[in-house]
Amino acid sequence: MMTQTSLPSELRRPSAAPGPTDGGREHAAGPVRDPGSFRDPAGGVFHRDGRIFRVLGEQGATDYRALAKSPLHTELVASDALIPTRELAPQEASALGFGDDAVLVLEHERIPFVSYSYEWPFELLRVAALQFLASMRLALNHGFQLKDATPFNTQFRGTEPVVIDVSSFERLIPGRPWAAYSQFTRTFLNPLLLQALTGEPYQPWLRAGLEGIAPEALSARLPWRRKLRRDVFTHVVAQAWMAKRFSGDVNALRRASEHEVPLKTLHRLIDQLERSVDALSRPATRTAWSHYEDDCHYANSATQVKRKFVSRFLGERRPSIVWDVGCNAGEYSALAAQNGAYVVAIDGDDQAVGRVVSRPDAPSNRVLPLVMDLLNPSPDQGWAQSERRGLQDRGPADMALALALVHHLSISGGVPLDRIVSWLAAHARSAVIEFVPLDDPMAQRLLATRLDTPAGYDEPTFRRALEASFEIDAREVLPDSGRVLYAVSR
Amino acid sequence: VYLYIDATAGGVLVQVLLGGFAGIAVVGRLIWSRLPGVNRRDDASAEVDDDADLAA
Repeated sequence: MMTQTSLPSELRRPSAAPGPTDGGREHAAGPVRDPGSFRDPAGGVFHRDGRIFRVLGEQGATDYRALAKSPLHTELVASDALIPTRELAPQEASALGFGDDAVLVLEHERIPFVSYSYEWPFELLRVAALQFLASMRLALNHGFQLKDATPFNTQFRGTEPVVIDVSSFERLIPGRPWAAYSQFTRTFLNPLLLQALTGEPYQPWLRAGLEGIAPEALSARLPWRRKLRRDVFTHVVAQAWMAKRFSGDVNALRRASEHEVPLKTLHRLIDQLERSVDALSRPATRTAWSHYEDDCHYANSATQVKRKFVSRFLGERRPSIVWDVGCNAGEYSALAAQNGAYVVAIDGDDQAVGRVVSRPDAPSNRVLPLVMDLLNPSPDQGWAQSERRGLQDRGPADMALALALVHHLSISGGVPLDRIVSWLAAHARSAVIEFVPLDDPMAQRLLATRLDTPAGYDEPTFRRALEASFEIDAREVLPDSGRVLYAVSR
Repeated sequence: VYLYIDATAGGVLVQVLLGGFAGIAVVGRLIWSRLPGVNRRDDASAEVDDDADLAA
């Protein structure tokens, strides 16, 4: 693995201008509450001028000050498990527009690109789960606990997870059960079990149900022999059975809740969950495009010209944020990261995205691999359709790489070329786009079962579409191939 | 302390079970009391009895 490089300074420090995570939402003079931050009564997240703040009330401030004074905080920050945070002086908070009801205002380091668990490949959800459990164990050791257990409280810097919700930590109440255990199983463990044990990707489940996968739903999906695994039996089958049996029985639940759950039991629970998650792996399957880099018979000369063309444009534009849309296994994501960009690598093929995670040439804190069908990108959703932001609201990127993508969207997806180009123009200030002609072997693969020829799919039409949305900065035909690269900007 | 997360019946009972013999006994009693033929009291009388248990 390549030695880690630090994030560009403009991504680590609050900047004066609204950043890529702001989605252009903040126009008011004062702080604006994040529409996804409203559940925790202890406090909420606000944005102002591209900076991220957390406002805490009385209880939240008490919990945070206890955490900040504890060695737990030092250990979490030292291990990069908790987002770096600073406390604002009352005068500074007031000058920024926070009212007297804000007992304590914190400022967090900004995350380059906000992503959600329904976009993460298996490897990212797994590592987020393991980091969460390690943080919970550390918290228990210091007399704290995590009061909620949702992956929405974790974000990634590349493939490195970090907990962003400092108000999740609260003092442990001795003898009480861990209230967030069920949430952990629904949002972390069950999705991982689903994919590891059945091969079915969990992303559509998590996108459809933001509360995760209920034990009952997973139990119904698993074959009997899988249900006999110790972890599945305990956390899925038994939990589902007891939920069904006792959910309506208030008295039974009251009696059970009053039963003391000792600290050593909580430790045993965390150990069990950690062993279970640690043992899970993505089933090895080969999809049509997961080994495109190996299967694609580019001439060496074409590959060299393509890499040189992309490198040149990256070098000229020096983008901070690059979206590699249709990234496949991430060859060009790694190239962009090596050129100093923070890269969001997006592809609809879960297996291909999984290969991005383990690329030896991609700096681990610079490339964020996400699973997303570009024909159906993540929408605004959750409460009031504003809790979780759609892809379109998390841009625009400084540059998009759309290499060997357009023919998929057009031929397989049926999207006209001008719509593809205007979509790219809405999501990025500049782009490197590859046009694959119909006689290319990869285009022929898409056309193998079709009797017709797609109408309006030719380079002159593509060029006219580009000219309508961008300025064309450069064009290059790849040698020994009819493919054409365009560098464009607006 | 805010408990805005629903701990869920299954989540609490699994943790009670993991607590060893005492926990198993608690859950065992709950399951036993719900078996057909063991506890046929109507809801009202059950609530009174259960509350009496708690008071004891």
